[in-house]
Amino acid sequence: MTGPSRQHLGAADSRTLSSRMLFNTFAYAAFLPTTLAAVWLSPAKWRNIILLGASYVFYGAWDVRFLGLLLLSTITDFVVARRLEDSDDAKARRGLLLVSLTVNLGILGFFKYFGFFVESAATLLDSIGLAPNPPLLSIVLPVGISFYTFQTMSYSIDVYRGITTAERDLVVFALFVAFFPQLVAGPIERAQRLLPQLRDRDRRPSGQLVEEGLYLILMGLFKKVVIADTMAPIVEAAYRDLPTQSGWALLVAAYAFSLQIYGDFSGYTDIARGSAALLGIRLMVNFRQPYLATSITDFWRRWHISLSAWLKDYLYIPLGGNRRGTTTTYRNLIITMLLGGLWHGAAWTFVVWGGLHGTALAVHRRTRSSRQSTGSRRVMAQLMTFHLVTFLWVFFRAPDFSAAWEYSTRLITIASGAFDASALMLVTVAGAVVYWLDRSQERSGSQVPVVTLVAAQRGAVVGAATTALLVFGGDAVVPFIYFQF
Amino acid sequence: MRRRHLVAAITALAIVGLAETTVRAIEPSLGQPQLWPTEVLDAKANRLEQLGHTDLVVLGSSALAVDVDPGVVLATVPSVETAYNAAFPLGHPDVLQLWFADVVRPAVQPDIVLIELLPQSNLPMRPHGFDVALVDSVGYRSATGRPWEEVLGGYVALVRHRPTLQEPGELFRRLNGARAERLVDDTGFRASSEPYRFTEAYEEALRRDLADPDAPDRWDHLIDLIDAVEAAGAEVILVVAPIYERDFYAIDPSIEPAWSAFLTRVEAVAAERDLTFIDTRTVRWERSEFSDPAHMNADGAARFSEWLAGELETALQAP
Repeated sequence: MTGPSRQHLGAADSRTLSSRMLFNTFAYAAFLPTTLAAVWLSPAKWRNIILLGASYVFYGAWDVRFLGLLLLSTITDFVVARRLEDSDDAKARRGLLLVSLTVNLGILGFFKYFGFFVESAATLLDSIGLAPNPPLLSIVLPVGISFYTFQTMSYSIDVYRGITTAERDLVVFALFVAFFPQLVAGPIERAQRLLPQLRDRDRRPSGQLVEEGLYLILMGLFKKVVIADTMAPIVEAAYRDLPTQSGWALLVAAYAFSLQIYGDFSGYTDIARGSAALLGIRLMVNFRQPYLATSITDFWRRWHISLSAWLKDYLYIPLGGNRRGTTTTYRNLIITMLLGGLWHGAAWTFVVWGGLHGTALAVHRRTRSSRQSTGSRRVMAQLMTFHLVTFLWVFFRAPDFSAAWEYSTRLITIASGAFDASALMLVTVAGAVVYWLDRSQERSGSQVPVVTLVAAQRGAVVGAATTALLVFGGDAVVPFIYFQF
Repeated sequence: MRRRHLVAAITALAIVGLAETTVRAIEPSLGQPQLWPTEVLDAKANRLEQLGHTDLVVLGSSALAVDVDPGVVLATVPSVETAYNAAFPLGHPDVLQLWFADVVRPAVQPDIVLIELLPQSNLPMRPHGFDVALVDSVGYRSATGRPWEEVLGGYVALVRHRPTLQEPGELFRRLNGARAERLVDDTGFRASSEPYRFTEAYEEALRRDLADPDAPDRWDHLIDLIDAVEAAGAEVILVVAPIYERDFYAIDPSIEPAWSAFLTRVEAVAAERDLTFIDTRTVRWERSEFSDPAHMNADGAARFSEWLAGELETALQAP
């Protein structure tokens, strides 16, 4: 079963991945300007077609076979939505929605979760004395499948609910599904935000949007190459040699993973948003300084916002949200986060990670105060939230439960063992840089605070980031973690 | 507007230029820039440069790097007067080919090359091994010269000293006057006889590799390496690195037949190419001789080297 193994969170298979269209490769550095030139030098009526073609080339560079799945999801939801809009029969409308959900969840379930459920069922049967002989299929996980299936499903649900109208232009809708900057790892866009922008064939990015886009790309590369990829070896070393690591080394590695996954995913999002901006499209903000959150609830309003909002609108609220009593609210929170955990990967560690977050959200809901914390109380709340999130990442990153347990035990008991002072130095510097970046964003109220600076300051930021990229970059390409989800 | 962008661009260039100038200024303290992805490779490349013609060279991954003591071979095989173990951790046939062509062959022009065979070493990079792209990333290619690098004065210092600049501890150590000594044992045996254990992740990697004898390009890299060595006029001898089979077999029932199929394939390749194949299965290796199931400790390496030397002597005496 070639599912989302924990290999993706560890060592990179650099040979196979370097040939693909990762944002941090020279292939993408050539692809993006070529696409921009093709789009902006063409007549307006051809732009969406060219952009769609480029998006399919981008996706086909990963694995051309899976373009079929993308087309299946596209055509299904295009047809379903149009018929939904044309139909007044409630039963027929429910049936149409069911078709969309079945196709999208069917694709997702088969390619992402088939092996997981078969193996889990086999283990369960084995534990009660039955010896099953489950079917063994070698299924490759199509990249970005969790993102585009959720995006297309939300579109059909929104048309069903009457929140948005059905798109009548197949090219525009196909582009909504396959728009390459956000195709493989989000943000998971909503139809009412993205479709109107794609419909506007006369769109032109303003000078300010182009400037923001370029800064976003630079910032994203910095977060990925300088922060995330520098933290990755520290994390890998900790998980590779768990029994020899001291508690302090594991604490440093836990901080390192917090920085790695944030730099990796928000760096990806920045590059995606920057690339889209150069094409005249504004994608939604997906991260809002999550490690400055003052509670776990606040954290989920700041981390992977497009997924959190999706889960809230299409899972938590339909379950009843917080309108059916306290106990049901807690149950809904936990169910939502359990499934949110499972969305990340077909492994019980992800489910437990989600469940722990759901429990933390429920506990916070029970104990929260209506008072706004300020000053030192606010800093204390931020530190506690950051450490809770950092600790829970252990379940997300660990290859299995025994490793998660061993990691947690050695960390909590401050076990003796190896400690690397260089790692501490790197994590401290990276942490300070990330804190400074996030504080700048928080204070300026802008995701691109550099545009608020005077020219010389902007130049200094660009120069410093370029220097860091020269030092920390290289030809060895480390894939983005979320590309495998 | 234009002036604003110009100021920003000039400032950015000035910052990069200042950083480059600073690194050039401290360059004497930074020592020799690292050319290969690991210090072991750098040390071995430097050693090879000094050796001159060498009769026998070992090529392989960490298994043979720690298992073979060339000194024992020299003491046992009269026809071999000079020998060097050029195997290195994470050595994959793809990188070994480049290593042989660009370093080993020009430096020592060996007569005999002992090539290690281990199933996972022949796989395309997973789960371990570094590839040519990683070799590129640390400046080796700069030594071979890219046009734009020559224009930039060899290579920008920021990039040339990348590995040192990325390691705060190493950078401080060098700036404080420490010589850039390589703490590398370039024959490298593991002295530890500590009991070992598998992690689940390692087991998973082994399960995937060892139970997969027919990965399509597994043999391509190896055949290419053999071709390259033979084209250089050297005799190729194949040897399967000893492993502690029982522990491997316990991981997954499919490993034993896959391992057996792998060895059968090795024999076929050796016969097809008329190569000498030294079969480690004729000896019983003890668990106490390994530091993990694929790497021997000092005791194991001593016994394996003696045994290998005997096999080599026999093979080299054969008509």
